[in-house]
Amino acid sequence: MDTLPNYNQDIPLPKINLRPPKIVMRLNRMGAFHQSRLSFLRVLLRKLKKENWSFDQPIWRVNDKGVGVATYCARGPNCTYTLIVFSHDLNDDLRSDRVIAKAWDATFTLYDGEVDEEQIIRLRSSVPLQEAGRISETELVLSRANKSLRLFSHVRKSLAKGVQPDRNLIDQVGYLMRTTAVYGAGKFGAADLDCWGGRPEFQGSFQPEMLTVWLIRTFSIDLVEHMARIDSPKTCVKLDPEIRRQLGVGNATGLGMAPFLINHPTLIHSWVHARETALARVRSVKLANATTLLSFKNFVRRAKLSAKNWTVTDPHQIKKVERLHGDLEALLEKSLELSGSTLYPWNALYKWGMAQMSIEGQEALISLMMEPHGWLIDDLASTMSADETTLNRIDGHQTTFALKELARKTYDWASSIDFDTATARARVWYISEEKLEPRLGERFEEDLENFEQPLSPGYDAIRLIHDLNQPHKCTNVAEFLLSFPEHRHIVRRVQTIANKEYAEIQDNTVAAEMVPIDLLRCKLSFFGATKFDPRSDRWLRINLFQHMPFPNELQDFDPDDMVFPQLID
Amino acid sequence: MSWSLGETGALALKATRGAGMTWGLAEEASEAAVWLQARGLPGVSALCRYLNWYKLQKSLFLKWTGILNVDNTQPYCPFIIGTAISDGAIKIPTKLNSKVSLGLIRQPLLLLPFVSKSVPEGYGLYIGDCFISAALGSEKLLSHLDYPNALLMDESRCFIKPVGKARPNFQLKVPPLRLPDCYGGCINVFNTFAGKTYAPSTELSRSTGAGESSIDDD
Repeated sequence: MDTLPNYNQDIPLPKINLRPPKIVMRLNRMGAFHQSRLSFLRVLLRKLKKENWSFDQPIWRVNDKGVGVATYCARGPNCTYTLIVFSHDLNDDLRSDRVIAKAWDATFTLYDGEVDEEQIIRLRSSVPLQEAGRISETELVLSRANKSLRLFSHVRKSLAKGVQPDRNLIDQVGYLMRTTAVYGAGKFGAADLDCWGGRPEFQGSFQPEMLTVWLIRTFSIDLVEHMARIDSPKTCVKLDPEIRRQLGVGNATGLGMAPFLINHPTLIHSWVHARETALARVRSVKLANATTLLSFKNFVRRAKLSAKNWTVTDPHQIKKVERLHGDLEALLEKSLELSGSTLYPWNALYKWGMAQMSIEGQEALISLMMEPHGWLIDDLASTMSADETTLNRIDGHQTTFALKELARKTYDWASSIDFDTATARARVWYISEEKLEPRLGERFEEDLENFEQPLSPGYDAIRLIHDLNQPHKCTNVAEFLLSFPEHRHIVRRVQTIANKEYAEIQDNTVAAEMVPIDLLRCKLSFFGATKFDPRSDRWLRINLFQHMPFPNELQDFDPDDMVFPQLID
Repeated sequence: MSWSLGETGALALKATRGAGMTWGLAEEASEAAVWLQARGLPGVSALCRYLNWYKLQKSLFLKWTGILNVDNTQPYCPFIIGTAISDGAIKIPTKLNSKVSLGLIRQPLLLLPFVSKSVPEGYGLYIGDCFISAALGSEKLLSHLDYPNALLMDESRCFIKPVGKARPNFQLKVPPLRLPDCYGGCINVFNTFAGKTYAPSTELSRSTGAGESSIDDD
């Protein structure tokens, strides 16, 4: 660590500007973001450890077919939360990544408090139905998961025989179970964010969801060990703790997540602004001591190990990962040049990285530079939320001239896009009647335009500016909206995101060449996901909590030191 | 069964859009319904009734041109008038004892959130010229009828004027932050309207829309 300045008083003021949004908020860069100290699962574990939370498993009633119920309690200073698991016997042919599946290996809900039999009976009739059921104000999260057939049966058989599973296969897959949806914040009857958002343990974003997934991870281990014990009670062994930690929770994510980044501009600004502020703070450090430099170099070595285990099949992502291997090798070499006397060492490294590394490597570098600087940046996690429960009231007194100038300034990136071309407006975001899920269609090949969702703010802003440029007698926004009510949503957006420079993706979200998984990866990196594995341009698999401690290990390990595999001497 | 206000708001947005309003106005309608509901007032019922009427009668609406016709016999849309108030296109009273007539408004309860956020302390929205009134200050409901469903009037002439000498305050029950089971009918109506925003599937959408494989190779 650097010579620790006093946490509250001596944090050096950033001398370096934040990266401009025209660099950061581009889809090809957002689609290269990596997890960091500010990612939500890391924020959660840091908090749980600091507050000395305890964990137990009050109920385990799972039979020899793996069917039954289990509960996991997380007990904090003020509240207790219980993950209720319904474990099912699922035919292999019903197992699917699709969010629209109707049956799963296990279904879950996070209950607000300690659960009793009456509640379990109530929830047994709804949680296994997922979207087709209804939960209530005492439940915070609804989720489900399927086994990874590639790994679950291998681990089960190995443990039953009394041997540990093949570590190569563990590295390759990385999880025993894969969630296909994690719903919170009032969905399907769950408690509204207003009901629990003020609790200290849930400050930040997506904290109940992260807690749920972390406890699901424990269940996945308990289930495989249970099944191995059923198979061969005399010879079975438990998973080696180190191998166990190699297992995270998988997640399959599709287009359902994509509109979130466009529909929550204030929240996205808070996330990216925190991350960019963290980067600026680290770049502003004048001198680094030997311990910090050594720590950083070790993180780079460990990131190299992690990249080696990042196996993908998508040709585009294969190239990106291959380039990352070279980038990390070069980074390690470059970092050896840094010493305690290097002035502004992190800024020097950053500048070198921007000139020499791929975008995938650049964003990995930024996350790595944050790793040894928790004392400097961790406080930013508390800024990564936004109250979006009420609409920003439109300022009707604003002059039309001021609105036009604001729209031009905010959307100057869109002015260079020729929206009259077919490629610029090739796509349509819509909700499918069949599945009630967001989808992306072809504007000029399908009859979809009447169903278009307002997910192309760049185009909407250009149309607004066009109409503001036409002769009209409106002097202020209130009058303008009387004549042009169709612009109401984009006027609100323009006013809402003024001075929130990271609120808007500065790319055309309906362009023919737009790659939706870039949107998904950005959001998932803020969750703390690793091992991004695109399965098409519209969905991908990821890993959450890999290498991190389990609940029973939290007090023995520093979770911030466990994102990457450990170096083997 | 009950519904969270969050999911109700999301559904109300889609429903209002499905009924034919712009996205921007649909956002306002959704927020108004939830705002009322969170304060123990039947905003969801009002929006549900309004959308049903709007579907059939929207051609009869009196178009708002920027000048209020307070002797209107065809009603105004509460969201058009509401947003005109919150945007500042309709000036609210600032002088003591002044009064603004808003004309005949359809489902006037839906005006309350817009007026409440715009008027200064001491002014109220009067729904009808008799005893049915909702008194409020800036964002605060000072009192309202003990039977909030009585505010579900189909249409009424509305005014913004100072709240008279304090009426006996009825104790507000703490409103549940949920939509109880009895709102199932409204949810069904919302679902029907929301359905108009969903696109029927096509061969192309089935093959490329979500991009996911139905084969689990994990």
